[in-house]
Amino acid sequence: MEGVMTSRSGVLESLRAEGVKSISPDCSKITVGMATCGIAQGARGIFAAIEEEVAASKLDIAVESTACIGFCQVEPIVEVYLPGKSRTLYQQMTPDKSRELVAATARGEVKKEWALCTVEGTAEGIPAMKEIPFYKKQLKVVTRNCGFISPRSIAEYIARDGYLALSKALGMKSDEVIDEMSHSGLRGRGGAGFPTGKKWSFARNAPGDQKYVICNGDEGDPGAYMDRAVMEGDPFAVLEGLTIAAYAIGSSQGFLYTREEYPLAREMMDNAIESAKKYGLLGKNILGSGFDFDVRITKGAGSFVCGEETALIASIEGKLPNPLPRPPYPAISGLFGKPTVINNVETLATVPQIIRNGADWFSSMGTESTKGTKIFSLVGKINNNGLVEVPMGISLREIVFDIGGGIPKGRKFKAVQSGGPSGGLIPEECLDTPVDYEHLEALGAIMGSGGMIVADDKTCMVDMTKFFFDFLNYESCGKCAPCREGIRQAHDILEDICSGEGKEEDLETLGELAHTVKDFSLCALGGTAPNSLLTTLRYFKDEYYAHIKDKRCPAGVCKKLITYHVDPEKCSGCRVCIKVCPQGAISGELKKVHLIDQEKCIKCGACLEACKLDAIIVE
Amino acid sequence: MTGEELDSIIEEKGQDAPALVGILQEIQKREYCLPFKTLGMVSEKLDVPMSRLYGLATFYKSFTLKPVGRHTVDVCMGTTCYVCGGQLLMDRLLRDLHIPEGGTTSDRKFTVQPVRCLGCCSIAPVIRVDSDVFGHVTQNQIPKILERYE
Amino acid sequence: MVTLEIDGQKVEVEEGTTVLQAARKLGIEIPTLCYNEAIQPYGACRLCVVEVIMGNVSRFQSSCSLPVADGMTVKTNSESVLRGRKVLLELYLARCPQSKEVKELCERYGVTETRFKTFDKMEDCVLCGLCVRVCDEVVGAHAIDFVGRGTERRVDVPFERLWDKCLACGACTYVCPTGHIQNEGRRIGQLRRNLGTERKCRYMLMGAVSSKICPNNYECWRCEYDQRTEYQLGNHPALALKTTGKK
Repeated sequence: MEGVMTSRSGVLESLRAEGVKSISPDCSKITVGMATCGIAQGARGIFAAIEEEVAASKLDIAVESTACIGFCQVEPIVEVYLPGKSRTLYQQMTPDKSRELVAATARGEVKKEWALCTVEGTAEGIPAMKEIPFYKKQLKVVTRNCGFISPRSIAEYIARDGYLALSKALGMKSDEVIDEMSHSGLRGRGGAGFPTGKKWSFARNAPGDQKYVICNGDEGDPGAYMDRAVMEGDPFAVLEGLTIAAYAIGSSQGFLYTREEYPLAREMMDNAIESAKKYGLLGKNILGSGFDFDVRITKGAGSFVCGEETALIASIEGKLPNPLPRPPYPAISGLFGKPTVINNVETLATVPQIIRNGADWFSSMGTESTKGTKIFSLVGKINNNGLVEVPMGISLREIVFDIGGGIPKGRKFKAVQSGGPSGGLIPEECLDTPVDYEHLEALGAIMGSGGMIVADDKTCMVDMTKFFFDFLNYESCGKCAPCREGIRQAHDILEDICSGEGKEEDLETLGELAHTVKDFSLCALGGTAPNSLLTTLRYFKDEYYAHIKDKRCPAGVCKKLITYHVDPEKCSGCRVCIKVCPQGAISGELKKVHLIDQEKCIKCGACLEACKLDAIIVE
Repeated sequence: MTGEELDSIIEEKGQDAPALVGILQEIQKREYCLPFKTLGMVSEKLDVPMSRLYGLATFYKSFTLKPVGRHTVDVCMGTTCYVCGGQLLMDRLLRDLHIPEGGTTSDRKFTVQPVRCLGCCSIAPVIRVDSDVFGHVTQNQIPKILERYE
Repeated sequence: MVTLEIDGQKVEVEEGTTVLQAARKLGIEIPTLCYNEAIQPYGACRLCVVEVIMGNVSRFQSSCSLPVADGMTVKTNSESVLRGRKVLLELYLARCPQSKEVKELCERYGVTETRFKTFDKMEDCVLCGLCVRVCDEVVGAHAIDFVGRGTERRVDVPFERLWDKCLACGACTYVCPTGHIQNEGRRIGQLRRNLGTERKCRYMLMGAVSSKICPNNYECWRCEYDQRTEYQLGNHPALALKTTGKK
């Protein structure tokens, strides 16, 4: 046994040393955040510029890439490590700025004016990460590696305590691993919040020679992208979590289901699987323990319902991804009829930390019913866009205003949408609610996978509800009647309301429809579909009445109920709007107030977007 | 697609049920659609009923039966993009290219389709042309973005 | 044996029985559109949804797919079940305004009109999937499947024209609750046109008849075997074979 232990730690130790060196080399190091969102903001050009500059001047500076550090608002982000001094993040970089940054780095200097914060060490005039509002109230547990290591490097992962949990778990009995998970109080982060330990023990105790574990990476909730960020930023943590789950329930084959829309996440996971195999952390006889486990990646092809467990299983089986009635639950009869555990990406990435630091450590964070932390994607009409990881129990207000920095352009907060299309819209008066599964449900919303979309007074609640129904109508598999027919009819009624053709009795019909779809649908897609409708009817009924009775859209969104005008006070007669108008609907001479021809106007908003003087009014 | 080409795809992806969707994706990528003939070969080689393949081909949104254009423009219709004006981008694209949603231009250059969240919500609204993601897009930028593609 | 309570009546049934079967044993009527005892429960029509109370948790579940459990209390006509069922029937009526079966169900549960919009006046398919499942599970021909998704979902053969896998066994036509599926007649005509009387008959293809020559000259409509099984077993031959296990 001792021999086994030594060889186990042998592999890890040498990789650890290598990783420590590559995270903090003797020379300076520049790292570019190159997750999907970073790349979309120009990170590739910056990376190329830095490499070019370093090569041209033959500098002794290492150039690396990492993933998303969460503060997407200020992408592209570049990190500079000066050995013995500091590790600093720079925001909103451009190729030109980064060339200058290379020069400063070569001199061992920081560029104070572009800096966001320091992550390590101190630098004069630059706040530490913990001091800036965006990060102050965050608690990085699951995202602790995202943006800090190279996601392609198993060595860097190990240098930050990766795979300690697996080797610890392999030394435990599988029941002990499950007990630890149960004690930690971890609940599934995919939406439903089912206790992870319980799920594992069902599958563990279910009879069957072959069992499966599946990582559900089908993050279909629009507005949520933490799973993408975790797969792109810390793929080994997901893989380690999956391996521990497999060991706990006695499975030798795992599947990782990713979305077609996330090519980079898939690439990172692919790479992680290859590396883990290379070092005996996946495959036969893992770390000399006698435990065998292999993982296969399968890919969705554009379908939201595949995030539902039974549909996901059907999809892997090559069948039409239509949900099945439960029971039987997948833990008893899942993939190919075998006991199957399906966990979400974020859940699995939490697992290694619980095993490594202990259940008590984990359960010391969060609230009575909901332990630990949760990643939210804070997006929409908010100043600080990004991924935030916070301890459960924090209030919505703290997330939106303290971390998120409030609403841009001085506009008024209207609602925060939590839980994707299955969630609800939460109004201002409920913002002091602490975030956990129960409290959000009491508000009529759900935690879901963690999307938080902020709406301001220019967002129409009826239109947004219509959007969700349009989305769900498009994504419903069509198997069961309440979901298929009910959502279609509700969408139709909402469309009437948005076009000014709504009737007062529609609201009652919508209410009844919502309850039927919620109670009678086969799976959670239909079961949660009406949440947005129910919450808007509850908190924003006035807006429905404005559309129905006054034929008015207070937010100025619903095309049939609004008109575009030129504000004669503000218009300078610059002709910009005339140039962009696709319909030729705007007329006017230079330096004279312009006029919009209502007959020709298609309300496309091009003029509104182009006008720098806010002279276009929407009513 | 020839039988040999298909064989090599199957060789790479695997013969069993979990490989099926991946095989169809590879065919879609190479042929710009799922052709009737190729599906027939898949059905034969993998012993999967044609009715099932047709069901899958019409269920998943990334599969098409008619060839798509050389460049696919995906307009993100996730919640955040919608709130930030994604629909206006879609309207603009369709107007400029004179096609309906999901349609392909007559020169087979562009196909425009909605996609339900690319997970780039922080830079909404987003469009993706092939594999290039553009963030914070305004409708007046659209002509310039399209110009980049041959 | 498992004991449970349905609408206030105690009933003892074998383990593995579904709530729907247990209720029917008590003579309690629960409406269904997608259920057939020879085919695996599917849980799609949702008309058989009942309120199920286990301990202190109350849930709405489809009775066709839910196995009974000890201590279960089931309400098949609680206020909320009836209310939801009515709205659901309104949705069906809006989808298939002409269907006799749907209209009858609506009448039985007091639904006389629908508040919802009809998108296709001629639609008579309720998408119960019985045809697809009988073809797949019972006959094993896989000739038809669902096409599209959501509101565009429909039943068809591949590419709307590939009929070659259809045996013309007629099981789909037989199980269809609304008379939407009429593949049998169409396919028999096609087979006779294309292959004449040289082809195997549908029962030969199903493995139900061993003879090599049809005594009825492939006039399926007056087939002796067909009528015999139906009279004797009260079911379509494909389904009768399945439920009785006889060949």
